[in-house]
Amino acid sequence: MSGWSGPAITAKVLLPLILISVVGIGSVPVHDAWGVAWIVRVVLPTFAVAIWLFINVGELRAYEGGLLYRRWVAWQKVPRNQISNVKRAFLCFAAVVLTDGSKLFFFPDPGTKRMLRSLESLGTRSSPEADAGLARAMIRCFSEWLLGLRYIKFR
Amino acid sequence: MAGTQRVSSALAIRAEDFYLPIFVTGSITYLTVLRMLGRLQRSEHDLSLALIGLGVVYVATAVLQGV
Repeated sequence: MSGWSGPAITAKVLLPLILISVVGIGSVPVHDAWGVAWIVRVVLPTFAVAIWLFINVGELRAYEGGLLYRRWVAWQKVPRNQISNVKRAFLCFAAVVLTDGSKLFFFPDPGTKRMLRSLESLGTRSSPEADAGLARAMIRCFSEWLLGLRYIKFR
Repeated sequence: MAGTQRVSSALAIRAEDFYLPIFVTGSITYLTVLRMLGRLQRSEHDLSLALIGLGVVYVATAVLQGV
């Protein structure tokens, strides 16, 4: 597992961060107010942030040619011809299965469920028009985000 | 002696010191649970992302400064 993206981030950064947090909680002597202060002010926020980062499985959006997916900040395009299946994973997770067998995990929030249902009725492939639509959607996203409006609307 | 008292009172733990960490921990935990339950709307995902950025900054500051 090389590099600093995708699963490598989880293995090299997030799991050690969570382990350090757990060890930190277990190793703090709580004999006085300073021990409590250390846990409340340092260990618990670290633990909350680590858990959030660990289960940040990604978000899904749609554009005319397929799906947009991001784990952190940058969106990546997933053309429809690369998508093999969308299925429920364990617990509350869902996954987009790509044709090469890899999976993109996400939480199926209400907007994503609606989007996936509408995608099922379409069967288009990626095209230059779709890419132009993606650029328009991203510009609209950014401008609406600047204005504090809802992030993006889907047809 | 008076100087010692001043120093110890300056180092005393106050209730206000806990407001920010409790807010950070509580809000991140709340958003994490809502997110896992699929209850967050799209704009709230971005709020969640912004909050975790603040949380990371807070944690880095807290770890560096200690209690």
